[in-house]
Amino acid sequence: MIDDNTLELMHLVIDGSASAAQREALQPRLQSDPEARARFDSLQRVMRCIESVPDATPTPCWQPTYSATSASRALTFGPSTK
Amino acid sequence: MNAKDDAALVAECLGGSNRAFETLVRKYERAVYNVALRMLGQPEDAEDVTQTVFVKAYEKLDTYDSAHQFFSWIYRIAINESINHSKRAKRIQEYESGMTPSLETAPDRSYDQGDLAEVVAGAIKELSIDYRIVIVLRHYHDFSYQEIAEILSVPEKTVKSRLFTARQRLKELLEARGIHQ
Repeated sequence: MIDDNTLELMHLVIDGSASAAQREALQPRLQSDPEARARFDSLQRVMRCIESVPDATPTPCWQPTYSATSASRALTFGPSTK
Repeated sequence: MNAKDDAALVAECLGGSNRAFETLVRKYERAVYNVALRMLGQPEDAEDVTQTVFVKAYEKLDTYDSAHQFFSWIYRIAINESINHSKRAKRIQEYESGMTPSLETAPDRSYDQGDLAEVVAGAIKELSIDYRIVIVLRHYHDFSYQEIAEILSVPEKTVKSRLFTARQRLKELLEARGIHQ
């Protein structure tokens, strides 16, 4: 059974939010507990999966066009003419 | 461009400058589109949501409180619109099929990078909204726990808790798709 504090340290380390002290605190726990080590490895693999999804660019280039009636502050978007 | 510039652009826009709003659109459209895409999974849905986000932002710009970061405000609109779109789509899907996704375990499979990205994106889409949001904001937009807390108006502790559970849940969903963990 992995304690909550160790689990929190794992998550902080894998997403880069851990301080140096927190990273150091996790190491002996991973070395002494095979279950913790396995969980940590598993979380790292999840992170690699998350990172495998590339950033995306909107296919149409929106060109905001504004209505003449400023009172209504209406705004419409349409495909860019660029 | 920093938060101070954003506030200045908002002020210019409220003063009647459409060009200032266009600058804000150009600055945030890709980010808003990506939030919507991660949340919804379909490019055409993300495009619809992106348009709605900027229309709403324009219409409600006078309600923006410059004491807060503009990006928090625009991201909050993007998330709310994505949630609304997702709920509408879910209602339609349920009406049309009456089916719910199963979590049967699939045999281990090997994926090339493109396939893997598609499977992972699909698994993220299967996460409940609260978990999907924190994964998207933390891992695809690189927001800190504190910034996510501000965007979602929840305590930082809640962000951490949701993020930890979301990763565990994502692990299970990936296993169910045959991605060996």
